[in-house]
Amino acid sequence: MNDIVYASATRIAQAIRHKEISAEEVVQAHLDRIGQVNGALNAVVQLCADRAVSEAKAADEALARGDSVGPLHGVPMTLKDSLDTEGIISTGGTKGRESFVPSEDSVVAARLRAAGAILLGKTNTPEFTLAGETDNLIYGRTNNPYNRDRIPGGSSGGAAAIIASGGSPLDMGSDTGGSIRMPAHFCGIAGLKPNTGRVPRTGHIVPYGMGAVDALTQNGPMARYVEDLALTLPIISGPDWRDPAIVPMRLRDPADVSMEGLRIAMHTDNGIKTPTPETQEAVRSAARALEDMGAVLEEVTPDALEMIPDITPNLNGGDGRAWVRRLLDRAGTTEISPFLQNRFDSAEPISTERFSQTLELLDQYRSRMLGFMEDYDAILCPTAAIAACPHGETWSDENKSAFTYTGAYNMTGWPGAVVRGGTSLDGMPIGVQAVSRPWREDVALAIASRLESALGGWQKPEL
Amino acid sequence: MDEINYASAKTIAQAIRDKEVSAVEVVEAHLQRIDEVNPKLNAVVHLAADRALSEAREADAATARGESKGPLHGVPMTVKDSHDAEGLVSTGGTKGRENFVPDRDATTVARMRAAGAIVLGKTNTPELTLAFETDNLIYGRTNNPYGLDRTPGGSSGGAGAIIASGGSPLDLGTDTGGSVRVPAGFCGIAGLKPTSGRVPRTGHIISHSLGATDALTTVGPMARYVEDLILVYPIIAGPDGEDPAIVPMPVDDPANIDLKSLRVAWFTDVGDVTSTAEIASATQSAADALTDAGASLTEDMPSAILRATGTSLLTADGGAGVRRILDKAGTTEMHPWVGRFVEGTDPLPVGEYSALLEEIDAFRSNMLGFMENYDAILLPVRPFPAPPHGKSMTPEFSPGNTFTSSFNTTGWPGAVVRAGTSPEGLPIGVQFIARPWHEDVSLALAAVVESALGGWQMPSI
Repeated sequence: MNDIVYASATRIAQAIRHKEISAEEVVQAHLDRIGQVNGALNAVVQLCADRAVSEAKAADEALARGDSVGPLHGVPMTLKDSLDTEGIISTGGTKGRESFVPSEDSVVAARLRAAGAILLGKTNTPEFTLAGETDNLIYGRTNNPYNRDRIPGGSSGGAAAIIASGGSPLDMGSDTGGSIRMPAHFCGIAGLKPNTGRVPRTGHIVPYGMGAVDALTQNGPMARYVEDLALTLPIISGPDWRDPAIVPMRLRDPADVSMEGLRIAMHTDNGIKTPTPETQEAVRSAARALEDMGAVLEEVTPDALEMIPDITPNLNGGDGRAWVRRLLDRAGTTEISPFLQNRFDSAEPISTERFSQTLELLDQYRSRMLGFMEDYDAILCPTAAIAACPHGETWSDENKSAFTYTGAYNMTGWPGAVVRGGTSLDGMPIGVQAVSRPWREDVALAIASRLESALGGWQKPEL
Repeated sequence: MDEINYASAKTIAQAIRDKEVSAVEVVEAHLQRIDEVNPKLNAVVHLAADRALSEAREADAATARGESKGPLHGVPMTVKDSHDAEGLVSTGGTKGRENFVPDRDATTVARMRAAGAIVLGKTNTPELTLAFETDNLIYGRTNNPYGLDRTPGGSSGGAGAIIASGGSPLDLGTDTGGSVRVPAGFCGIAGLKPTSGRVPRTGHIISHSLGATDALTTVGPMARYVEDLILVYPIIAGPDGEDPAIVPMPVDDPANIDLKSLRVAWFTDVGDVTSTAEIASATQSAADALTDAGASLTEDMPSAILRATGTSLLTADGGAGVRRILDKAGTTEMHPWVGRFVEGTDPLPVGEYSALLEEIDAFRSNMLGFMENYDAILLPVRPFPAPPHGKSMTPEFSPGNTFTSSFNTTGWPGAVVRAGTSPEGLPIGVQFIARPWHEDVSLALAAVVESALGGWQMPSI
């Protein structure tokens, strides 16, 4: 049963339900795998092995009794350390919370556990999730399983690294500018940023209630297989009566989406940063695969993307990052990580008049993008301009605009799914991104699923 | 056919469909009524009589051929002057647009016309819709049909006044702080502010894409009868491909609401802002009517409402957002009611401004927590009836703003219906606030109270 650590969560859940394998065996196999790889990765930063084994035994007993069980009954998972987990240290990567043990689960954690999932431990995040690499003053740096000298990406880098390596089938990332999709891309797994308003942020270190930047942040699933994103999205979605941005919009089933006649706008260059040739080729091969399935591809870049460089710095830094300062104060953090210090150093406060105008520009960007989408069901594009770079290089002048491919859709609020679609010259995974119309996660997931079948998706790292 | 002026839009549409009356007769009757009452009211500020008659003749010809444009085929309506109307001067109450003739309809106007409605004219609004009374430098002041020395409320005061008087069965109001609900309340008609994200603002003077204040503004129907709100609201709801805030949420039918399952919180006072005895009593009567219909009523108030901060957003940036709208309109001379937003207000420091946006989210979260236990809230539209002209923005009356503006900040739906009469003979309106996206609940409750307490009553104008 070695291959259980490479199976999908969907398959694991089925095997446990059919008693082909016990939850305890599954949990133990994953704890063993974490033990093997985590020394090299530093991805899992808190383990709750005893609780996990005890919950697994209880899960097996429930099945033996014939109790009705949830869709994730007995399935192990890890959770990004930016999510509160009851009884388990939850730092959000910030010193002020180095020893913080929440008394209740974040809504996402609670819903997954109620569906039967068993938490193995917490995965590493940069401070407050606000970086494209995964390193912090508490737990240090996480490495990429395909090359330890490279970043796993961020901010859900611990999640991506441990999932790619078979230490966990499932994690919940969060994505304010690409923090689910970029690590999924850098580590060759699948990830979904749901639509703005889909999943409550209650109990996340960057919670609901963030005002100007509130709509940017989403929680969403990460897994090796697209089917697991589709399995978990309904479990974590819907109002919790605390996060005021959540809309009770019904979810549709990706299985009902046909590629036949689906209109997809494809671009390989957003006009801000030209991707590597292999990145562009991965998008082109994805486009050809979808065309073979009957989709109608058109190479066209939304004009409105040109607005991004004018909006992003003012939206995130225009208030001098007072919003980050408030997060720090709330966490009780005084010593901050170099990544976050860089954020403060690079912020240029603007006048209140320009700040309120920036919020209008963001809306105008959203309106223009919506107009573009009137003719298309989806956009196929790179996730980032580069594959995983060496540690510490995401802030370089050369790379800093390489990550605008994801932020474009935090600004629109639309769903975006990533799946591996290629490999760089030096052997690093390359993910392609499928973005759909608002509230149509089903379309983004259906495209990602078809691309996974056509292009192979996740591949096992030599670790 | 005099009573056609006091019929519901739904009845009118049916009568036209059944050829009991022609669209031309209906339009003529309404134009005639506007002629009778408008000199006293100054509610309709631009008439499109010729076009309306021509469209009515086309509608009758289509009916004769067995064709229909839609559920409002041949039904007359007026349109608040803050909406662009193709071919008709559309000022938004601001001098820079005194002669502005749009070349396309606002999304909501286009949808109403596509459904068969015929635009009679435009109704008055204060400049940029930003006041709770209706007066501007272009067209002057609108009066309340139940007391000409009283305000009809604002900003959809022209709509409220002309509908109450039988000059129009329908109008499209807009509501940033109460601008559908307040004139509906003061003029004794019905009105609906839909959930934020329901109805596109494309082509409205306070349009989409307004950043921090964007979610406050919604477009909603006004009519004498709740059944007309129910008829019109699905016609104007849904994405238009331009307004990025609009959510493609399905619209549910109020007819499917089981009143016995509804838990309704109700209150009449917000802290020391207390309702008049008659308004408290009208609210009590509405609560009793809902109890009689099987709903569970509890006297309870969300405590967060005492700390509502929403409308301070308009001045928090020193009025820069309002100034940008004025600049876009080309307005240099402004009404004092708009001046109060842009003159002499210093912006908050930018870090405090972003903190204010977070406070507003916290307010929304606290209010949402209250709604976990209730399906709806019943409260007065204002703790007082229509004030004399010029008083609404004074310290005597402005504390009442929170009764409506709190629910622009939450973004929830609110329907208004008349529930009583003040000692001066002025209408008293109550509102039914529901959970987000549950206009069906607001409308179902409003229909019960309309039926129990009588709703709109004819003014002696």
